[in-house]
Amino acid sequence: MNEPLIAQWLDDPSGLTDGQAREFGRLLESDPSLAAQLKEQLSLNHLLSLRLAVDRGNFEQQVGQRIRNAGSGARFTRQTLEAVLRSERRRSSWRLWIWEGAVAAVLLVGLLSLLLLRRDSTPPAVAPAAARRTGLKAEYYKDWRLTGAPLVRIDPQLDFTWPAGTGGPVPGSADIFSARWTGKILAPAPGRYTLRIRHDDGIRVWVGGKIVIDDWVGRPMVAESRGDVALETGKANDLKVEYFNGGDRGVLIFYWSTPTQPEEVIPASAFSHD
Amino acid sequence: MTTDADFEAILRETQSVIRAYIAGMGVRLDVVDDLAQEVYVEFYKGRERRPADVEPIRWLKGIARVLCLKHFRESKRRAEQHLEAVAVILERLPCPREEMDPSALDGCLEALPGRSREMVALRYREGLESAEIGRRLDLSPEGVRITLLRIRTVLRECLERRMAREGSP
Repeated sequence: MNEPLIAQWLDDPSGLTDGQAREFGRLLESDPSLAAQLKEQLSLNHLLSLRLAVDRGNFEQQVGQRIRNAGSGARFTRQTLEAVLRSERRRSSWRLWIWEGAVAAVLLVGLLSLLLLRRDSTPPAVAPAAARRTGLKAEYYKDWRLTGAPLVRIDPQLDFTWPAGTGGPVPGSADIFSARWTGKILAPAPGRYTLRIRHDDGIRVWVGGKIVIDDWVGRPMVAESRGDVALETGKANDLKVEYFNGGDRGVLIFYWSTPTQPEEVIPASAFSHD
Repeated sequence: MTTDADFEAILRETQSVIRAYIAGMGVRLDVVDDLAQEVYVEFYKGRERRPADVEPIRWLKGIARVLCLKHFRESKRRAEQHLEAVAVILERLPCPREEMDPSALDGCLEALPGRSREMVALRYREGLESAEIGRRLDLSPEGVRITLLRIRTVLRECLERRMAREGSP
């Protein structure tokens, strides 16, 4: 008899009227078996999400990151982040050695090539840092399809958490908005970079005109996408990022790492725009 | 006093219980991890205040309870404010399977009919809402909600049968 009510409550409590929500509370209070049934459903809901959702596996690292963000003590943070990541490193250390060996070989070949070709080399295609305009050009739209007149600004980094109910970067958007960032990405050292992006909702990323991440999907929780790109020092690669939030909280955080460089939020110094 | 190494161990050993505890209070899945992380941040910030005779898990659950109720109370969504009363009822009940490895579900998921497996993947892997799942599977949103409820019941029964088999001599 209560099946539709429980199903609705589990799926989206906001779909219940005030009267239904109050009635549901009364039913639970008076019928312990109904409350137990609901608790079972919540338990299964959580287990399924843990098993199948993309971004619920790195909880410990995220706690370390939040403690760092809360400014609770850099010394602790460094130690704890090291500690929580240690087991992960142990698991992947043999893979790291292979990567490091491969990168060292590539660097050696590159260095020899540079020495041989030095006289013919062309000047770097990138302007000196002082001459570059850092940050990415951002265009924010008041819908999730990147249409209409955008709100334009420069964002130094892609590191955003927009709480639910705030409208995010677009006032009056009811938390539904989209954005496009364009500019260049410049690597501090040559190599193969892994981009990791935490996002809620959808994301698309192009580097050098090639799409490297395409996850244009609405979702109820933060997801994680990865893509590998080869970046050279001294060469600014075109970067385009598109994002949408379909309601509620919005998250977009860009990290990068290499086999030898620990993961970090991509710093502002790596981005520039025309 | 809780050292950083202690904290690391506490985080590793208790996080599944705390996340299950928060989910068991009716917090939406997309908020569970946020709140659970906040619990550990608060625990760390107040680590000097925990009496030596109070187990970390009890202290953590206390923080989690306060943060969950605060979350419901401060929610701008009116419907979520009603959830506070529901959370108080749910919090009194034991949390089933709070330490279960989620991979225990695998055999039961494989045993589901193909269409049910597809629906589970659309909800939990793709994160789609019932209306979108319904569009893809030609069902009403209500039909999707009820079917997911029944699938979870089937999975619970399957887990119980497996546990009973493993527990029997």
